[in-house]
Amino acid sequence: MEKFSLKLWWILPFAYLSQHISIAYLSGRAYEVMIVLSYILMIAFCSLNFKVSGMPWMLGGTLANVVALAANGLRMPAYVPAVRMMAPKILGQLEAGTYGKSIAMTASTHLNFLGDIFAFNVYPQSLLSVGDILFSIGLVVLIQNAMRAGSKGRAVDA
Amino acid sequence: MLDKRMKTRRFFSAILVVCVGIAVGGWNLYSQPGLTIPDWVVLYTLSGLLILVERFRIQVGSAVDMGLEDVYLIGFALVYPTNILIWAGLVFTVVSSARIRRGWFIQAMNALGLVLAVVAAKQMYNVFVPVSEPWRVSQIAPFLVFTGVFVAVNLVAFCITLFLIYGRQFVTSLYESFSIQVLAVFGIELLIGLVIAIVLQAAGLAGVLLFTGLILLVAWSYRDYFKMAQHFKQLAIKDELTGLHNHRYIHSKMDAFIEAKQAFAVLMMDIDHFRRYNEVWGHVRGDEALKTVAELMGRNQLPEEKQARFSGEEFMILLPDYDLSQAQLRAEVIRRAIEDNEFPGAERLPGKKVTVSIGVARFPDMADNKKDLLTMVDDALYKGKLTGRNKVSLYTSVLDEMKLGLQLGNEEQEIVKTIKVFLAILNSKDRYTYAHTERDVVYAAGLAEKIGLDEERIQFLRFGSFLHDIGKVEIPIEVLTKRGPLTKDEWLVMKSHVEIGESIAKPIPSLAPCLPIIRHHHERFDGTGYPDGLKGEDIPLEARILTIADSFDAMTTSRPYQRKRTLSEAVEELRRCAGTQFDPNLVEPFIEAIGEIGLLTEENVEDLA
Repeated sequence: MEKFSLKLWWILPFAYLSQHISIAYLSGRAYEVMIVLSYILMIAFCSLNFKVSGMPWMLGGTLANVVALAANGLRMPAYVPAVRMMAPKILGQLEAGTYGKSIAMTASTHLNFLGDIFAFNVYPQSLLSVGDILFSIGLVVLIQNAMRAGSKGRAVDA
Repeated sequence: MLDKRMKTRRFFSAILVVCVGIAVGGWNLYSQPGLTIPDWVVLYTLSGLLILVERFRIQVGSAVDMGLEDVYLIGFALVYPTNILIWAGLVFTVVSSARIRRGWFIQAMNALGLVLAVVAAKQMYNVFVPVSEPWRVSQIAPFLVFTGVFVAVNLVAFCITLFLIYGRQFVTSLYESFSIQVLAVFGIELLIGLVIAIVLQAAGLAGVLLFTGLILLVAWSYRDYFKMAQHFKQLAIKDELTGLHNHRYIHSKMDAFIEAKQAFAVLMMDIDHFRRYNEVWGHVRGDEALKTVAELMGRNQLPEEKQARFSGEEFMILLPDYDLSQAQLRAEVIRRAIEDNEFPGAERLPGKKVTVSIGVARFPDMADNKKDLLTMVDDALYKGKLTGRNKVSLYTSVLDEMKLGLQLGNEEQEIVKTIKVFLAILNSKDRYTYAHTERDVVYAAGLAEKIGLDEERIQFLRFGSFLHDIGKVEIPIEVLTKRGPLTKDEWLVMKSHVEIGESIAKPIPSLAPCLPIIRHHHERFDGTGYPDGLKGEDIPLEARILTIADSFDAMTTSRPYQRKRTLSEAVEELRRCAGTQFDPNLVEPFIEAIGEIGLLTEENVEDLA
């Protein structure tokens, strides 16, 4: 079994932190700078560790999200019927464009198929984009590999 | 040339698959409605599932496994429109074949074939059921149409793929890959497809994700079981030390060949003086030598060649479709490879190196069953051992020669067969006697040539020598192999073998000249022998010749009741008994003949094992 190691893994918390800050506390130009920074960090991390299994999926997912964001003025279009079904309360905020980084998906938003269209109506309820799903798959693969690398001493028969 | 043709086909396959893929995509883009956002969700899900399940083939039998891609395509096709199917199918085709570097187009052709089949089936289905109407399980007739079209298009696509991979031989591979099990598997796939459609309608994509979890877990645990079964199968047919196949495997292969009436040559190989090697260097070094021998055998091994460690230091090789001379050549290659290899410590062996003796026989021309075949190849090996080792010996029998040499009628053929059975029994009762007769034939013929006997008489002498102890088949095994001296009664029984032998051979008129040889080979020149107490020249010449040969061989091999003599001791003994036991005029020519032939037993008989 190969030794499991990630280059510059500490970038990751920064990427998350900057994304969280940008979505939760910032708006306007500051939001834009922060979210672009968070994605640059994320893409840098994935590219650096591209050889690690799962990482290509994570990079693909991140890029898909970045493309969707870039096409829509750094906002993520969310599929309105899904939002109506899952969280009707936030519909107003969404349509006003004040709910986090999301905006309502309309005919005038671009690359809608990369937007938040997957409604997961089980806890924790969430609306995901295909990029998020690819990223999650990559993360699962990565974690599984990391765990297998950890149990090196155990006999792996078959 | 063949390579070139294959390259052309491969190039054509790649072009074809790309063109068909683009054509299908283009048709979809222009003739089918665009995708809504919920369609995109289905498209992503289906593509993802196809890419995922392509990695999990469920083993259904040892030779058949089940792909899940068509299951999902069928299930989704029943519920969702064509445009989603095509885009998901194309994504699946591209992603699944991109993973394979060499021969990517094979996977692409397979995937695209499935997609085409399911799309065609769906289009035909929509002729009967409007697109707007939701699918129901009860619509059996349209489903049958769907199935029929799917099977037909899939089969055509499969044939094209096979043709492009294998060329014209694809018919044979198609024929070989078809079985009842394949049909059953297809039935299972169809039914699971139906279940997926039902789940899709009842619980949507989430339900299918759940269902996929179930299927993949089943596939995964089955895969483990099959791996385990495979592992045990390997253990059961492999020899652990040498990595060759084992005794059980080679026997089952032989059974299979014989069952299928497949001609094959069999080589039995034994390492010379291996017991001594083990005694001198220990079994650890001995095992190393065995491994090396196995490795040397494996060099230039042909794909259809079956090699096995038969027992301790015996190896067996089966060569399907080989004739005897090809088999001998193969044996010679192995023999030389081992002779030329430097084994550590071999200088302590008699020949200063590790050598092997190999016996060769062939099915079906030499024996029509396994037991006889094994006896023959064993005899051939044994003969090689007796005549100097480090050689390849073909199975030959004086008996078969006899069949050729004498013009035998049907009835006589039958009797020869009976004699053969007697010899086989004798061989199993007392291996010594059997090997001993073969040596007697050589010694007696050598003496006969020396004194200028004519060719025809020599031939009968050889047959007679071969048969001279056949009467021993009636002697109880306790007497035959008794270690201590025989009692008076036992001697009487023992002596009777000459008369019994004569009566066995009597029914074959053409063997008439052999009868006196069989009857009188225990007469003594001074008239004190048995059964008739003939004296001097009254004893037939051939019998007198055989007496010397027989006694000489008895002297120079160890018997239960006497120690083995050296060549010079034996010669001395022959001279001492000239005039009493032996014809004095024959003793000196015999000693000369022995000088030319040499001693046929150089080592201990038990060392042959």
